[in-house]
Amino acid sequence: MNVTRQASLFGAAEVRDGRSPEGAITVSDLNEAARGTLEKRFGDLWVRGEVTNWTRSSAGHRYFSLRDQERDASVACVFFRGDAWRLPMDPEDGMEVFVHGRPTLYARQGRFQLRVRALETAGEGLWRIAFERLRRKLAAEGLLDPERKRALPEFPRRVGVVTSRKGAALQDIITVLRRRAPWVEIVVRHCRVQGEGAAAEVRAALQRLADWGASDPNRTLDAIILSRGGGSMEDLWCFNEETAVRAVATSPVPVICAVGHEVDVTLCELVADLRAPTPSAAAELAVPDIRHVRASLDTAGRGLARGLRRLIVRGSDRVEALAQRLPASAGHARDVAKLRLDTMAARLPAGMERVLARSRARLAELAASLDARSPLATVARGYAVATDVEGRRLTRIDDFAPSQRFRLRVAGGQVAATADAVERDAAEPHAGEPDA
Amino acid sequence: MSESSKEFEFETAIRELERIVARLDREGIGLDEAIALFEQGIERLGEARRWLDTASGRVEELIASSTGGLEAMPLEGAEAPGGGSEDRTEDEP
Repeated sequence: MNVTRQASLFGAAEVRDGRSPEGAITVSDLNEAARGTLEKRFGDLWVRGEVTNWTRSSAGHRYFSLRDQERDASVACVFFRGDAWRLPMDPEDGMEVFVHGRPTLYARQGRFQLRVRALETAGEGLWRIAFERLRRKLAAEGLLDPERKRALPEFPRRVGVVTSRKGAALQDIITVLRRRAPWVEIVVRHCRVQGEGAAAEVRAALQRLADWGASDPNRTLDAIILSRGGGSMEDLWCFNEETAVRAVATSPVPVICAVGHEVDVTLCELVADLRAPTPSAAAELAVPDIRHVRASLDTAGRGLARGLRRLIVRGSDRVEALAQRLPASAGHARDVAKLRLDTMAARLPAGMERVLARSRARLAELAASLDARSPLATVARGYAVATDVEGRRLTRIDDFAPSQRFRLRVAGGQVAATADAVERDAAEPHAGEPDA
Repeated sequence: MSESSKEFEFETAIRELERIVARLDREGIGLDEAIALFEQGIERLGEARRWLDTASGRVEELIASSTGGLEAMPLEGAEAPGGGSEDRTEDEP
C-alpha cells in the first residue's frame, strides 16, 4: 500500500497510511494500491464463461461481461482495440468463451474487471464460424460460381503484384516471372498482409493497381497476383475478411491468389479467378514459359515449311505428269515448267528448316530428271534446237520452208532466225514424194 | 512506359502466323499465293523470335507521387531486367 509522507504545518513528518483519520489516503491512492495488488497477485489467467452485453466503443474497444450462469456470478471485461482487432467476429450473446487476461481494477470507477488479451470460443472456433458465415454469404451471391472465373490471357504483357514489399513472396514471384517470361512487365503495389487494417490495405492496393492499369492503354494489366507466404491462421486472416474478399471478387483485372502454404484456403482464394498453392506457383500460372513459347514458334515454322513443301511436291508431280504426257516436240512447255520451279526455289529464303532443305533437294532431283529428258541437256553439250515461233520443235528438213522465221535454242538463250534456203540432203527423200 | 504506341504485339504476330499456316494448308491454293504467304510467315516468325530474344520487361513499384497520384518507379532490390543468370531450379523448395 502506498504510504505518503507529507510535511505538516508543524514541520514534523506525518505518516499517511490510512490507519487514522489524520492518515487517511485518497481514493485514487486506494484504487492504485488495489490495482497493483490485484495484478501482482493474479497475473494472466484463462477464465471461462458466457459472453453478455458485448459492445464496441467508437474507439474500437470492446466491453462485455463474462457470466457464470450456474453460480450467478459475472465479471466486467475490457478488450482493448490493440488486441481485439484480431477477433474475426464479435461473439454472440450467450456464447461460451475462454478469455486470457489479467484481473485488474479500473481506477476511475474503482471497478474490478478483466483486461482481456485474447478470446476463444469453446467448441467450433470463432474463426471457423466467421469463415463459414462469409463463405455462405458469398456463395448465396454467386461469388464462388465457377462461371465467374475469368480466363487469363495466353500471353500476358503486364502483371500486377499485390503483396508486402518486405515478404519473401515478392522475391519468389519476381524470380519466377522473370525466368519464365522475361518480356513481362511487373508492377508491384505494396500493402501490409497481416495486422490491423491489412484487409483494407489489400483492397486499396488492388483498386489502385487496377485504376492505374486502366488509365492508359499502354499500362493494361493482364492479371494481378495477390499473395503472401505462410503464417498462422491469425496472420492470414485478413484474406478472409469481407473487405479484402470483395475487392478480389470485384477486381476488373483477373486475380490469381496464393495465400499461405496450401493447407488453409482463404476466401480471397475462393473468389479469385485462379488460385495457387504458393506465391511461386501463382507466378507460374500467370505467364507461359518462354521455352514453350519458342516451341510453339518452331511448330508454326514447321507448319509453314510443311505447307510449302506440299505445294512444291504437288507442283512437281504436276510438271512431271505434264512432261510425260507431252509429245517430244513440246520441249518449250517443259522448259517453262522447269523455269517456274527454279524461280520458286530461288525465292525460298535461305536458312530454312531442314524440312525445307529436303523440299529443295526434291526440287533439285526433279529438275535433274526433267533435264535428262529435256533438250536443254543436249543444248548444253553444244547442240542447238530449232523451234517454230510457237515452240514446236523443228527436227526435219520438211519442217522448214524458205524465208521461214524460226528460233534456235542454244546454251544461254535463243536466237531468232530466218531460213535463207532449204537444202535437202541428197540422200534424204522429199516428203510425200515416192522413193525413186 | 515501354515503347508505347509501337509495342510489338507478340500475340497478334502469333495469331497471324497461325492464320498463314492454316491458309497454306488449304486445298487449292495457288503457288504464287503460297509463296507470298510463306514469305510473310517467315517474316513474322523472325520478328517474333527476335522480339522474344530481346524483350525485357521492367520491374516497377507503384508509389504515391508528390502530386497525390501514383507513379511507377523501378523497384528497389529487384533484379535488373533481363539480367542475372537465372539458373535456379524450377522446383519449389
